[in-house]
Amino acid sequence: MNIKFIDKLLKIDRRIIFVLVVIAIVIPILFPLNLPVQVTDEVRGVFNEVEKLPPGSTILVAFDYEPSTTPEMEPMGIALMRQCFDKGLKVVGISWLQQAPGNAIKVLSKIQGEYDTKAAEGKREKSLVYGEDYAYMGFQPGWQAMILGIGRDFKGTCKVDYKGNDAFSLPILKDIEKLADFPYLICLHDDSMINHWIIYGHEITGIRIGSMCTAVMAPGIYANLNAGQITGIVGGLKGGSEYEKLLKYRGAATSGMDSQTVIHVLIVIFILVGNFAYLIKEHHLKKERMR
Amino acid sequence: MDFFKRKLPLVIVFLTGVVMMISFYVPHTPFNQIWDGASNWYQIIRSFTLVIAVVSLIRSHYRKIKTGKQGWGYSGIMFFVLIVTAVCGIIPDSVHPVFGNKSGSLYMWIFDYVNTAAAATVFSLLAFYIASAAYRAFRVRTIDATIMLVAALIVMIGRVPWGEQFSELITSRISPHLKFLRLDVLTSFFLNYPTAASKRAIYLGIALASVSTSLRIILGIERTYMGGDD
Amino acid sequence: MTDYAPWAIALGTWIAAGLTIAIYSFLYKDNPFYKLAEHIYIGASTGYLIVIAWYDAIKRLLWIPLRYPRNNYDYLVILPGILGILMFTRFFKKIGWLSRFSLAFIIGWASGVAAPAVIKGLLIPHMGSTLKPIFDPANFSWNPLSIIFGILTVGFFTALVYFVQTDKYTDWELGRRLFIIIGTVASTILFFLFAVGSIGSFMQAFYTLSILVGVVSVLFYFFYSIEHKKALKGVAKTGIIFLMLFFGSAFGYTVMGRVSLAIGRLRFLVNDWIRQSTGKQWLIGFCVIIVISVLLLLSERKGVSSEG
Repeated sequence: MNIKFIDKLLKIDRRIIFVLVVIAIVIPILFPLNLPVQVTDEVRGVFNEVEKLPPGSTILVAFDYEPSTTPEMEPMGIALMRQCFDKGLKVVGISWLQQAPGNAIKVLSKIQGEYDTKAAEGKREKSLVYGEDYAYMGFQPGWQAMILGIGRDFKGTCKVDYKGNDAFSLPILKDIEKLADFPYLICLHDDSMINHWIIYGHEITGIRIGSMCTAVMAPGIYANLNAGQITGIVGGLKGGSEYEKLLKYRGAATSGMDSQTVIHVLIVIFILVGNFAYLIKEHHLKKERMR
Repeated sequence: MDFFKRKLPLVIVFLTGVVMMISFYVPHTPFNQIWDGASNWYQIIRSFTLVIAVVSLIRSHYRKIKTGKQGWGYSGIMFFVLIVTAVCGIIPDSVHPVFGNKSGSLYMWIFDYVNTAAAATVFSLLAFYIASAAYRAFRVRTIDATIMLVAALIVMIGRVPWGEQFSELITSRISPHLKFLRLDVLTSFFLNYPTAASKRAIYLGIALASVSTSLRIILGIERTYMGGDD
Repeated sequence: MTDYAPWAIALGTWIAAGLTIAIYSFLYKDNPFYKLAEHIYIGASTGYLIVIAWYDAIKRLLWIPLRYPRNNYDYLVILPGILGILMFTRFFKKIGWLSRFSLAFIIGWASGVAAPAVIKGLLIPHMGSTLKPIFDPANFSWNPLSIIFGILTVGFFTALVYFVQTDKYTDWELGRRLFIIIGTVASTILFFLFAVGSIGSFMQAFYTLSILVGVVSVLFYFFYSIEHKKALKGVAKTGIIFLMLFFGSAFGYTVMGRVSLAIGRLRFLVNDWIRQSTGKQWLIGFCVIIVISVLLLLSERKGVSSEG
């Protein structure tokens, strides 16, 4: 093989690589592949836990992801809200990351709009009512102090919701005194907050926890899954697409898997070609040295 | 004066640390009340740290504008956007529905179309750099690097639909007993066992380090949080 | 987004698209458009933080209890409020030491809570999950084959450790080394297979053992108080293999995570911006882009010439 060609291949301008990445992402957007998704046990661990809750139960959802990870996390959040409200569950949201409230309000207002439309079209008896079907307690500063506080006294620690309503006046919190009164907590996170929820929440109060996280965080949480500290992991866009499959609809996460597939194959090709060229060059240099 | 500057903070750390440790194990009066009170104090003081971060940022950009350093115009634009966002959010919606921090307000509009867009784009730049690094830097120079590369390739292909379908097709054609060699099954094995084991070892190390650092801080051996001498 | 007027959605989409393309222009090289987008982002996110700090932190925890106290104890929040204000003294050199009181309380609280919580929440559960029985005693049986392979396992393993410790292993040729390692591994597998009887129990034993070996070897790899030589080097090398599998999985998932964000932004550009924009919007947008470009390039030139 021509060593000059190999050299050129190894020193290719990175902007060409960037253009190839854009093409690999855009083509499946323009021409969808509709690839099937297989569901893993980790995702079922979260889904089934929500499914087995009786209607009328109130779950706690921790919206703890930053705006930067919205493309990954929002589809999961929307899928979770749809599952909960279709089952007749109630949702109380909370955040301990200061960047998170905007994301939580966005998801909840999207879902509110959706269910308003369904009720207007007669597909639902009534729409969602804030304070009865769902509530959002806003950003709670203090990290561990917040979790420990709501572990003992939920309403006393939160005091007001994000709209300024007194927590003690919200009908949805009528039977909630402390963290353990929630049958399940789902943490939507893009960093290691899940560890704090586990250490200060699960291990102290016994609340069961499910994790919905970015793909970057997912490998690190398998140790917690293995130890039985969480019931399941919905990781990244793939996890979101699996959750959407379980709910039998094709959302943003499933559509995104087409581009994800193509780009993964492209990066694998990059790695293989790069190493192939590297090994050829090393072999050639070795031969030159022996001469 | 040295007592107030150096010794009293150490006394506060010691007393607070010991009382919180005891309160963790003793849930009865008065320790449960101390626990709740101290946690509330912690939340309040922590909330001021948010403001400090903002003040630090404003100070550095203000200095840039004052000295007329190159790029001061950008700092001016930053201040403009900051003031608009903050004012629109802090004025309550009782004044006008466009204000406030609820859904549909100008503040949330800025969050949706400026914050989210810019933040997600900045982080997504890494995707391009990862692709470039995968081509130019990811080399099988040693056996360890080869193991890492093989695991990365299996996980990347095993977690996408094509990889699942392709490996199922290949293994089912050869023999149904080769199901364990399917890429999605191998990926699941890597994540649930070697990855979990490695991360667990790291967690154990972190846990031991946290406990020892906490004890060092409480006993006053570790004082770097106090800053330099004055 | 459904709560905005159509014109607000269109304007917002164009602003978001402009910011996205300006930031992506950094992939070509650093330029004024990227700097502008970056500063707009910093301003918006700092303004957002100010609002969060006011509503969800200071107003909720300080202002409301003082303004509408439930009981007399609520007035005590003035004390942490004072401590919080003392934190601002760090910006003034002469009185900066006053902030140490606030920091001391925060750090003392966090250390006092962390130590027992981490032991209870991290150390004990993870140690417990690692030290599980490798197999169910009910499934275990001492039959002739399991006894033979059990003895072989012990023999091979002891021999391996002995020859490594006495430095004889390094003098061997490849064939002999492979014999003893394959012998150890094969006899261990066959021992478990014949002892537990079923493939299912064997796989369960294999998984539990892989976790135990992984955790111990990785912990040992990070233990630097003993030199990693001879037999201990083998343990550290096993730890490295587990770590490499972890890093490989983490790399694969990191690629997935970052690419997802790029997919999200490009989907927005294609579906929400290019496909939804009308001709009128394109015309207005084009004019605005030209104006901004001219202003930016002029200011950059002015900045460069004043520096020169």
